[in-house]
This record gives sequence, structure tokens and C-alpha cells, in this order.
Amino acid sequence: MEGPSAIELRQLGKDYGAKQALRGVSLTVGWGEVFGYVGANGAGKTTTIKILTGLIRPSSGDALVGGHSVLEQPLEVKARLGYVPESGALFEKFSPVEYLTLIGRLYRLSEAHIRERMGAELRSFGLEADKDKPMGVLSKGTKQKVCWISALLHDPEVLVLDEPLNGLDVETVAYVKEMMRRRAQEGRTIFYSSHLIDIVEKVCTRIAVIHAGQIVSVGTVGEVVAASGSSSLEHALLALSARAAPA
Amino acid sequence: MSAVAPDAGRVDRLQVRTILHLTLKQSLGPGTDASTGSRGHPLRQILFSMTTLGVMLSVRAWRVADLPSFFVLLFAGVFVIVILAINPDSQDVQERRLEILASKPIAPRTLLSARTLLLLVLSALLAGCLGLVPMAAAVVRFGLSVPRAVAAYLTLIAGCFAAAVVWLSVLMVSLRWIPLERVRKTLQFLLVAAILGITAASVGWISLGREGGPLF
Repeated sequence: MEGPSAIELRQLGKDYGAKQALRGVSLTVGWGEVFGYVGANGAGKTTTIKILTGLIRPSSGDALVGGHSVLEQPLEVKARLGYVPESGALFEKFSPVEYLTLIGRLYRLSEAHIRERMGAELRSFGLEADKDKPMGVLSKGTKQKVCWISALLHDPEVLVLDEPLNGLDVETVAYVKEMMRRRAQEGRTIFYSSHLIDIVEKVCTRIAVIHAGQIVSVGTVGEVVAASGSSSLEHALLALSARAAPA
Repeated sequence: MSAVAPDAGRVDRLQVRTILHLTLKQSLGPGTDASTGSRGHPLRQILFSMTTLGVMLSVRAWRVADLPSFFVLLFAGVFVIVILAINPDSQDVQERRLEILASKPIAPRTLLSARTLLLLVLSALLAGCLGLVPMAAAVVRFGLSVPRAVAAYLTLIAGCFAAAVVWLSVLMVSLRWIPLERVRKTLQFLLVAAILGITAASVGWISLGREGGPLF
């Protein structure tokens, strides 16, 4: 990928009444990065992701994906994004095949492309045995796999993940980690939000630490740990959170 | 290859059909409700309950003196039932649908068209079931011609759709000040009250004007 950055957050702010969920968040994520977005519960991770994916509008600032503004060109942004939500939201009366076919149509993909991509991803995620069962009877982990496939169906340039490993088994987690590395090598970008520090440490090329709606540190895992004067990422997060005084 | 963004100024018919398919099957199709865990077939339940209520409404044909009085009662009853039955989804369901649909490249015009058609289908389903037996009763009791009965039936459905659009607009505005769950519970209570009222009027517990005379 060339041209503008994969993701650019410009002084992003979001207020929920009197509560400031985001306070001037600015970040730049390049193509081919697996970018970790870490912080405690309520730090502002999911709010940032909801703005990036067009689910909510920012109160101030802007977010750009591939140079397209979420405020000015939301359809261009959404066409380039794949999103795996924390909630694992699905239409549960459908089977995975029915649901994924309909999601492919929402992305305006051809029927041949949908069949080809869906078949390949169902095999990769080990879902072939469950592909025709109603999703209401499937396990949480199996539903999460369907969420993953629906985000990958249109082969997005940027993948936005919000706690994407909830409920997944060991084999699938290993496959997902490998797939994220492969996509990054192909020049695609992964924006990975999680509080599972060990996976962030192993997979991400750079990370940003958010606390109380503000970015308190950005860099490689080594740089963030060194800047905090700690011995591990876990201790670094605790130290950075303690050090950052809310406004 | 990523998806191609649609033209923001056009309605994408394939996306409209897809949204209708997703939401109608999820709302009316057989299966286990994720929020309540109960198994059921909502479409069959609606067909049965609304047609039964329609039978109740049709009994009124023998309790009023003329066709205009019967139609006033019928249209008023059906309008009330339809607008109270189209209740906003719970917060949880709304958020889940938003995460799926709002993160996809769907133009606002396409989404608005799909929502309008969805409301038309739902109001037509409810009004169609409620009005079918009473229209047949009007033909039998008052000698209404079949073409006029069909025209009145279609008018009833169109009127219910218009009433549902206005009612939902009012609800959306009211949600700025009133919590969603309170609105949902109030509507559910009013729907039960309306059904009991219709039943009471049909079996004669509530007087409908002078017996055997005109209502107005």
C-alpha cells in the first residue's frame, strides 16, 4: 500500500454528557503494521474503535483510514475496513453460510467471490462441520469465528479488532496470530485492541497505551517498557496508568 | 481487494433486499431468541394472534347499525393495535444490529429505503391479519361489494403504514427525554390494555352506542 497512512487519528475527542471518553487522541498507524491499542477497562479503546468503524461520531477531531475521513467519506472508510467487535454480534437465526453470503452482498461482492472466500475461510477456521447449523445453537467460540470470517470476506486493507480472541480455542488463536502476521507482511494493517498483554507483546509491531481517554505512550513494546522504566509491558502499563493524572 | 464503496446518492437494490432478508428472518423466522433464550416461530404467532383478534373485531359488525360505524371502530382498533405492536427493539438488540449494519458500506438512502420497506411489510402483516375477517364480516353483514371491500382493506393497510411512520417518528423524538425501556414497557402495557378493551367491546362488556342504532 502507498499514499496516506493506514490510520490517522487527529485530536479525536468524544464526550458522553459530562464524561470525556476521549481527550484529543492523535495517532498515526502505517501500512503493514500490527498495531496494539492497550489500556484498562474504560480507558477509551472501544470508543476509538467505534469512531473508526463509523458506529459513532466524534465530538471533536477526525479519524482517517487510507486518507478518507470517517466524517466526510464514511462509505469509503467502511469499504476498506474489516471489523471484529467485542460483542460478537450476529444474526443468530441464520446458518454461517447464509449469514456470510448476506454479509458479502452488503459489501457488494460478486456471488463467485463470496463463495470462494467463504469456502476458504470456513476451512481455515475449521467451521465446515457447523456451516449449515443455525448460529443460535453454536458455541461462543464458533460464533466468534463467524465474526472473524465476516470481517475478512472482502479482504479489507485495514482490520480493526476489539478483543477479537474472546472464546477462541488454542488452535484458532494460533491460526489468527499467524494470519495477522501474514496480512501485515502483505502490506495490510491490523489495529488490535486488547487487554491481553501477552498476545499484544508477541504479535504487535508497535503499541499505543491509552489511559482515561489520552494516549500516554506510543512505540515498540521495548520502547514503551523502556520509557516507563519498567521491566515488562505489564508493569509498564501499571506505571503509565499510575503516572498519568486525569485532567 | 477491499469492497467498493457505493454511490452515496443512490439506492442499492441488492443491499435493500439483503437488509430486508436479514432483519425479517431474524425478527420473524423460527429459532431461538438470543435475548430471551425461548424457541418459537414469531411469524406463526403473529398470524394466529392477529387473526384471532380480527375475529373479535368482526363481531362488532353485529353490534352496530351501519357500515360507517363499523368501519370507524374497525379502523380505530386496527390503527391502535398496529402502532402499539410496532415497539422499538431493546437497547441490546439495537446495539448488536448497529454493529453489524452500521459498520458496512451502506448509503444512508439505501438504509432509509430498507427501513421504510421493513415498516411497510410489518404494518401490512399486522393490519392484513387484523382486517381480513372483519372485511369479510362487512360483506356478509352490510352487503358491501367485494371490490369495495378489497379497496377498504388496502386503505386500511396503507393507513396503518402511514400511522406507523408518524408514530415511530414521535417515538424517536420522545426517546431523547424518556428512557427506551420505559417506552417499551409502557407500549407493552397499552397493547395488552387495547387487546382487553377490544375483547370486552366484542363480547358486549362495553357498550358501543345505542344497541341496534348508529354509533354516532
